[in-house]
Amino acid sequence: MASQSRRGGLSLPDRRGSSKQEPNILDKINNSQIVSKGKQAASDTVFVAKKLLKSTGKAAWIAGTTFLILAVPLIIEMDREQQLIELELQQQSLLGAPPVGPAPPKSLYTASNRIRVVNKKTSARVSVSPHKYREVVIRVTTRPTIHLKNEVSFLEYKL
Amino acid sequence: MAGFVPPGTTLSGNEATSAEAKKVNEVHKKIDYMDLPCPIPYEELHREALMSLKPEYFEGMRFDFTKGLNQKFSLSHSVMMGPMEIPSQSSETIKISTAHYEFGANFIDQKTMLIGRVLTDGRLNARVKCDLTDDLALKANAQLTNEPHMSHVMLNFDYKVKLASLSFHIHSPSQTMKVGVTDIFGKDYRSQLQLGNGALFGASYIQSVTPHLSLGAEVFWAGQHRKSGVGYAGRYETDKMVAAGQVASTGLMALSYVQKVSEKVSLATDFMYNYLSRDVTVSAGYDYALRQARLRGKIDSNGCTSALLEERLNMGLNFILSAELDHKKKDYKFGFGLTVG
Repeated sequence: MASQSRRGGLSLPDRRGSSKQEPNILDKINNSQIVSKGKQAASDTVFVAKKLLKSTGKAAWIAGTTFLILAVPLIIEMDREQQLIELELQQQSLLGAPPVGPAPPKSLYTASNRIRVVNKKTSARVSVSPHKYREVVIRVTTRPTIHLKNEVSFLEYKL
Repeated sequence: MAGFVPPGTTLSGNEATSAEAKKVNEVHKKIDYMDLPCPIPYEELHREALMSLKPEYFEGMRFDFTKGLNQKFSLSHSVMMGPMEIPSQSSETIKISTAHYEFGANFIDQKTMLIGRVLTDGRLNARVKCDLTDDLALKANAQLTNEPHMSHVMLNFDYKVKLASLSFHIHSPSQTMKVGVTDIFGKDYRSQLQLGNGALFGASYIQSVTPHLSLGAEVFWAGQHRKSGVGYAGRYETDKMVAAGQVASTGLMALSYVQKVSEKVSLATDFMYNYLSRDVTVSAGYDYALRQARLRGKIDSNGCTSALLEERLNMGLNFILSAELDHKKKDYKFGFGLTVG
């Protein structure tokens, strides 16, 4: 409709000062080369930044889930292994059992390490030291009901 | 071959005596080429790599209970629930949740081994391994299914002579193509001949060349499809590592390397290349066998990551977790299970 010639019926009124006056100073600035280049650069930057953000997000997601599947169980298991080793070392040092000996002390340990569960939270373990020391250690361990780590507290009785 | 002194050199004083000592050691450790170990079968070339890199992942829930009634006889109950993939024509994979129960009985003796399994969807599996006499062994495998033309029976006789062993396989012809397989193995080599209906003929041979290295080749000819192929394989193993490579004229090239970093840890990588279709797959993985758990993880060049954890909760109680992430196809599969006994 706006492009109809003036001979026909309706036509838009002339814009004020369109071709008669000099273009405004604002219009000048807006149409200048620097500004338009700057605008182009800004929109390019936004575009690139959006893409970068998206791809970083994707990469972070993939890296995060892969780490979760590959590394987190490994860390947890290695930690448990370390705890087990520490516990065994502690046991060995407490009962003063050197690993060298005609009758290997391990056999005594395995025979006596039967944990008898007294109730759900407490367990008692009786272990006999090697024949050198002739002592019996009774260890009572209590476990907290909700445990995220293997926290145990124990009392030891030596006879 | 460290410390080998070439015979033409002349050394003086202390060096001479140490070289003499080294030479004597070499003579004692000299490889007896008449007494090489028997190599592993041709199909199991990549055995260590497959054990580490391709364990049984599953999706859904799995529960296995094995109860031993006797020293030799045990029953097993197994429940599996989860989505099963149906191969469909479109690119979308359709998953349908299924559940089934499997009952099995095992009898394991020194001479005999009998295993039978029956599933709720009507499949029956039976396997027999029996040493009939000192020289003759029998292996049989049978499977019956609901679907027509999918049942088959396979019998295998093994006759050991002083230096070799012959085995014959008889298949009941169904869709499977094998009719007869002969395995001959001697002290340091193994060979296998296969015959099938549809004019299928295959032969493979593998021989230990040194105590660590074994080389083999295989050839097959399929008359029906008018295809033939040759393949070569080599395997080098030491205490700490195993490297195996295989090339075939069907376009397959597979290399694998497994390194035993310590008693508990071993790392494995695998490279598969199809030079006809230009398809490359590389995968790397680890295998941690700790006291309380066994953890196997793997990452692939197809964007696939997977892990399998078997944890020993108690004596005889194992908890299994399996995860498989496919970032390219956006397909994620997780499974958990419990194994008792």
